[in-house]
Amino acid sequence: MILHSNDPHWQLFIIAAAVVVAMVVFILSYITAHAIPYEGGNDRSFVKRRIWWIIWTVMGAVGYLAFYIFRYSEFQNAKGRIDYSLEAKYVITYIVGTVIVVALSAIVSLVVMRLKRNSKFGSILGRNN
Amino acid sequence: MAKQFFVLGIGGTGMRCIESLIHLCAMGMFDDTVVHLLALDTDKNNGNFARLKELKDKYLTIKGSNSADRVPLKNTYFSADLRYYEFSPNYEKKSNFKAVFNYGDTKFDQKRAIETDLADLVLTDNVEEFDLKHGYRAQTHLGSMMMYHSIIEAANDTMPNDLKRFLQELNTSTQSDTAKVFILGSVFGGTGASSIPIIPQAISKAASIISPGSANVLQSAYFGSTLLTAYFSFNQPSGDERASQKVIATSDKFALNSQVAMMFYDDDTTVKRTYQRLYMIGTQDQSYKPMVTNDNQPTHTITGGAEQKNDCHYIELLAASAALDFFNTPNDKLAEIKKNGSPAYLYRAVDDLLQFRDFVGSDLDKAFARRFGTLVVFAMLTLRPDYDFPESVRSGRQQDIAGFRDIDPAQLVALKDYFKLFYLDVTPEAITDGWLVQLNRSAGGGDKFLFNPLITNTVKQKGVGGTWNKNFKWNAHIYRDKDKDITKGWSFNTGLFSNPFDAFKKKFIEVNNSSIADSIQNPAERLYKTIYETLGRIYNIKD
Repeated sequence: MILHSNDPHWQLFIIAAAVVVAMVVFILSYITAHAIPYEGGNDRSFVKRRIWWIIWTVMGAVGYLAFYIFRYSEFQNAKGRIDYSLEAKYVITYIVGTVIVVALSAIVSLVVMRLKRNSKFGSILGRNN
Repeated sequence: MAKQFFVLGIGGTGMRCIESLIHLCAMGMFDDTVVHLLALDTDKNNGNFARLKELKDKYLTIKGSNSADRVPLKNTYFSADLRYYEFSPNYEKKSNFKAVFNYGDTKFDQKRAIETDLADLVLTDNVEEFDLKHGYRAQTHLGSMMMYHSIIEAANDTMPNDLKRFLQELNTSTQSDTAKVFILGSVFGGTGASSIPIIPQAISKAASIISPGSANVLQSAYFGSTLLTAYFSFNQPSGDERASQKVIATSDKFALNSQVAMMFYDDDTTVKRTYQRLYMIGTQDQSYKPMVTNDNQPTHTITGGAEQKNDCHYIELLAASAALDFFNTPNDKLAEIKKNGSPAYLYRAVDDLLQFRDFVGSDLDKAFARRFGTLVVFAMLTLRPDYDFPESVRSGRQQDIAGFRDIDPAQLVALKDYFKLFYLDVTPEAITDGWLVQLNRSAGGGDKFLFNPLITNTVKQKGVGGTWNKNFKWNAHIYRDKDKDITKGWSFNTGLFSNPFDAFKKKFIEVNNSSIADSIQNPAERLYKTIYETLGRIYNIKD
């Protein structure tokens, strides 16, 4: 698909993709957190969950950026020249999207962690006693 | 108001029966009850007596370092409030019959010489002269008299003592309610066999001495006892030992002693008028040797003292369960028996394969199975270093669990020590069998004693010591398949990414948040209660 500056939907599509990726990051973090068992003695399992939460967030952001590279060739116009104004918009939209991936997944995660403080996912926040 | 129960454990067997009774209290079988335990033994330095004292110290500390903190509770572990008393006739200075009764002076006192003549008529020289510090050595005719007078003497003593405190409680209870008194001891040995027939009279007389005009204990209280016949044997004494000890109990006579005692209890009018329930308990043979293990092969006869630290036997749990049955017997039933003057002689035939109902009957077998089985799991959660659950909760190392930081650390130290005595003490240097493992061995090992045999085999031996087997699946391997009629479904699955501890902790957090134990003041007892509820729920046990 070739992007055109007069196409009103492409920016919305990229932002929507960011929201979807943020939700996927959250869901994967949640599932992983619950798959990591509690430990006896000095229970450091919350550290593993925290690390996995960070890994998923980073992977979400990286994966989202990979999509940017995948779409990069589409800024060329019909003569094979790069449409710089479109590319600039695209880059900015993607930066905003990446921030959305990280921020939205973090905000949703933190809200759920707070709401489910006594769950394994909530344990990512650290000490509760 | 909490119920009151008075229990006397007499002699070496009585001490071990009290141990079993304390373990029943730890399981929570005496809910909402104050259990007054009087340990009565002639041999103050006896190894079993020492182990009992250690056990009760742990139990008391588990409930609270201060006695004011200890209260009876319901539906939890360590629910009974134990009050412990002990009494030993003092044979340190005057250590034989002749010394205690001032035989020498009496013999030459013209007015009282007849007393020594009478003594000489019924007692041989050896019986009059043997050392009483190791008990009455199966000389029950001597023992009954000596024990009765020791109790009366202690009541007359102007100084306070444990016996008087016990009797004071008994008096108080008798005045406000009908007290139940249960006596644990054997009929084939020395101290227990000597004391069972005379204890009701002795404590009644002593109670009237310390509180003149108070209610007559003998008339007001209900009495029950075990008639525990011979169930173990030990090495026969050598000729030298027989000569040096003057009188020595030999286990080859235990069966005969038991037979004669049973005839006495069947026939004696005083016994019949005194006791309302007598529980006859015994084994088919005496092949069990409590002092012999792989690590301990005594070559001589141990008459008493610190060396006499016999392993526990399942029959002692049967005796403690008899006490529980007596405690649960409705008062009107006992009143009728008392009125008729004919005690109920109770017995139950059991298979080699012991079942929960063999101990507590069909009414309580489910409760017993739940409490005993989950206490074993609680022990694992406490003893295994990779779990160390109660202490890790208190110290905040279980960072998801709140509300237990103000537990007195001494309570949890005592808890760990208690479980070592209850289950197993495993270190790299040594493995010491606790009560449960000893009971399993006494029943013949394997799956003969109540539980899946794997629970007594949860240690990886390394040289003389060992480590806990971390792969033991305690979610599924606590109960035997053979007990499915009561324990069906009492297990839980852990899933692909989980393990038994993970499932336990998840449920614990849920139970802890439900505030189920909030009414309990003592934070350690709140923890025990939460664990009790959690284990009940993860094992799908419905009361």
